[in-house]
Amino acid sequence: MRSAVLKGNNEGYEIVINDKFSINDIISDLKILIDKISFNNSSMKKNLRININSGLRILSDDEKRKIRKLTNNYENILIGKFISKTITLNEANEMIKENSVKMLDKVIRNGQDVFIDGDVLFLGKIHKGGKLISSGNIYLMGYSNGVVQAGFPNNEDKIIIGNVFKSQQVRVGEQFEVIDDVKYINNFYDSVVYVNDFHVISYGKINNLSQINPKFFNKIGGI
Amino acid sequence: MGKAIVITSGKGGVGKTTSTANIGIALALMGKRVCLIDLDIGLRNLDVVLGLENRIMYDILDVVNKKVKLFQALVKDKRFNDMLYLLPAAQSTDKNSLSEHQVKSIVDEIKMDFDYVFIDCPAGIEQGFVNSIAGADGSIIVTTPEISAVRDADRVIGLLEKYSLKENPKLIINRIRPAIIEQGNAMDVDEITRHLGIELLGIVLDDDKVISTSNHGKSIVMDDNNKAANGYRNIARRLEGETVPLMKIERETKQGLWYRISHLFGHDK
Repeated sequence: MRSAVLKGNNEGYEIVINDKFSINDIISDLKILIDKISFNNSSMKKNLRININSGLRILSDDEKRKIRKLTNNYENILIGKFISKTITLNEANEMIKENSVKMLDKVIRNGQDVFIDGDVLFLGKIHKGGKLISSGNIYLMGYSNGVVQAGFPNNEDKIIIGNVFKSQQVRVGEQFEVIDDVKYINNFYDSVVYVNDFHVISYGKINNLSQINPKFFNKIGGI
Repeated sequence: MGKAIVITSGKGGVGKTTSTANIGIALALMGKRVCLIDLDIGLRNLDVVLGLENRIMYDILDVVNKKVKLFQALVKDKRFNDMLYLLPAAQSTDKNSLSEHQVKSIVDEIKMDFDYVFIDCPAGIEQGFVNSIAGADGSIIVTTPEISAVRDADRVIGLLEKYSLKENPKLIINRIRPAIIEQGNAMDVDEITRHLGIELLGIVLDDDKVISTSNHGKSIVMDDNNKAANGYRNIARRLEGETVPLMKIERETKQGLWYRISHLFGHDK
């Protein structure tokens, strides 16, 4: 009874796990606790959703599965989400990657493919036959005569900002366009290349970013 | 079912790629369906010479690795209404990433749909060369009237005889400069042909315009009144089985200032 305590807050019920106990103690305590709650809750028809707060302990996927299994025999209790104050290093790195922009200043020559995981601010030069590929957005401040691909391999929410006028091709996710084929394109640094609702590559201006990609705009514009 | 012809030379820089592009275009203009395959993996050029480099989406390696279907990788040359296609080489790897039977199966597949398949071979006699001749029915050796190019051509003909393709190798002598031959400072056409002992398919005169047109992604063969272009057109016609006499090698008389002035006053020699 000491390692798992039921608490109520304005989000509903949660079971707070004391992170000082071993996982076996916690599971056996949880078992007793859930049995009790189910018994007290038996008059209610509605499912009771309970979140698990593991504090400073990181529960592995296996442990989470074991805990979810505990409620299998009770019809009126459901484990909601797992909350904790900690994250793993991998998750942390992932978060950093998602919110940071990598700077790159180099010459990408004919036959070279440069892949960047995440957003990239490119200051260098892409020669014809060179490829700059990113899983995120590409902000182009350097010169591009080659192929620029954002959202690799298939993320069409990503954009390319910068002057792509002299590039060979632009690609966003799986969509691509040969610049020679584009009848009208801005020879400006503030062009935005994006995939529109019809899954076709389109060109806009930074001014209209809020309409082009509201989600992205809110992220960078909403402080 | 078409014919696959490899264009090779041994030595680099004698005009394999230029010849491939021009013969291909000449045949496309004659109404044949032509596919050009660039096998110079890692140092591809044929796309640049054809002015198609911006249009490449996939390459031969993507086809081999089953990433895309063959027709997705073929780049169409819009200038010749559906007659000329290019299968580009991969650029970010090297010649050893392909094997003979992979190339052969691709060439066999392309042959079904086209009248002519030209394979642009890389310089050298290593894996790239072996790959290039794997699917070929015939071969064209390109050489120039230089002793080193002829030497390498001789070596390559020897290798081709070892692999024994369906058709005997044919010879193109490229970059002929009449002035030097006239002075006796270079081998002439007869001498080269006799020395190499294979059928002469045609000769192409040296012309600055060959370089300037290809720098603009155009090809000399589209120029109607050019001697080099004529050479390539004749080669295309001979490939089609026509009998075309060999063009005369004439030194273009330099019309200098004095020549023109003397002409003006009627002092014709």
